[in-house]
Amino acid sequence: LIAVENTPEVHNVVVCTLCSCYPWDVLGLPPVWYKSDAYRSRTVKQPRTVLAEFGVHLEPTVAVRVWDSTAETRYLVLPMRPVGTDGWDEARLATLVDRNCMIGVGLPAGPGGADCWTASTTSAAWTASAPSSPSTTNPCSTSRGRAGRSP
Amino acid sequence: MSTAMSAGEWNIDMGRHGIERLPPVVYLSSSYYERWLRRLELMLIEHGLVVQDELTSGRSAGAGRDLTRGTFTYARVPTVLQRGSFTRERQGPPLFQQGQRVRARNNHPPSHTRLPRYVRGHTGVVERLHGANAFPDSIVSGKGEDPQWLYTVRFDGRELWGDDAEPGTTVSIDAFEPYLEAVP
Repeated sequence: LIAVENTPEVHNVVVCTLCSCYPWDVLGLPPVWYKSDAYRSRTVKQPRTVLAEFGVHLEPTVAVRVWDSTAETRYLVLPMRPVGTDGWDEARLATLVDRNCMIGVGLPAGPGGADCWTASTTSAAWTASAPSSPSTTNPCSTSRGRAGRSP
Repeated sequence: MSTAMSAGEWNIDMGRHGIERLPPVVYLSSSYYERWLRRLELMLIEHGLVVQDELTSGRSAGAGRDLTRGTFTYARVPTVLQRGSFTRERQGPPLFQQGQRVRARNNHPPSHTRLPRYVRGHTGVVERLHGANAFPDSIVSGKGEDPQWLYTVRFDGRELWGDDAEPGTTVSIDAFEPYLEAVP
């Protein structure tokens, strides 16, 4: 398992184009959309567009790095620490991070539950293909309201 | 169930090869777990654990053969769900070094491979050497693990998608050494 770190210059996102490889021993079962043909084929070709559909709008100056998990190495995205969280301990910071952040299709919530990203409606396309995956409908509230976090 | 049935009978690479061998119409018209079920049926038959008549009738046609590792019990569930290690020993030094430009071979094997089609023939840069791993292409062809050096190779979006690439994007894959050739 390799953690790849987001920085102000680089945003990382993970996909498996060949099947649906996923760090399930850490993150649990993958969401339905992660296994969809659309996510698998489009993320390598149009990563900025796919990220925008998830509500992650990156500046053109931020490079996008796609990790295609083609072998048995698994990847996990380490999100950037949100502004205003100086002095927060690990447990408190963990409450801001959800599964989507660690796949790379989400950004952590801000302190105090501020919107983690600008639009909550843009993930509609992914919600439609993944009705059983509640965290794509409103990742922000999911991130804040999640009680039982996977190890 | 799939994991349990495969315990000792086949491994993850053979399982992936199984799902890739489903007839295209079956594959494309099945949901994710239906594909698992169809794959399981295919492999149970191939491994002589059930016969087609049993799948059709839903009834046992007699005692089956023993599983390679014996009866599967509840106590073994955690063991088969544990993620295995794929790192292996390898004789000889790696052919490629970090920072080296390499080309993904333009090959189209009829069997299972882990080299995605969209990188074949394209040039990238070796970013990391992971060590040697069991080689899926060899495993599914029945030639054993034949461990190979594994690299992370990074491709520029423009190299892969031409003018249609989104600016400032790169894609990396994890590539086994036989997938790669040196770029002069």
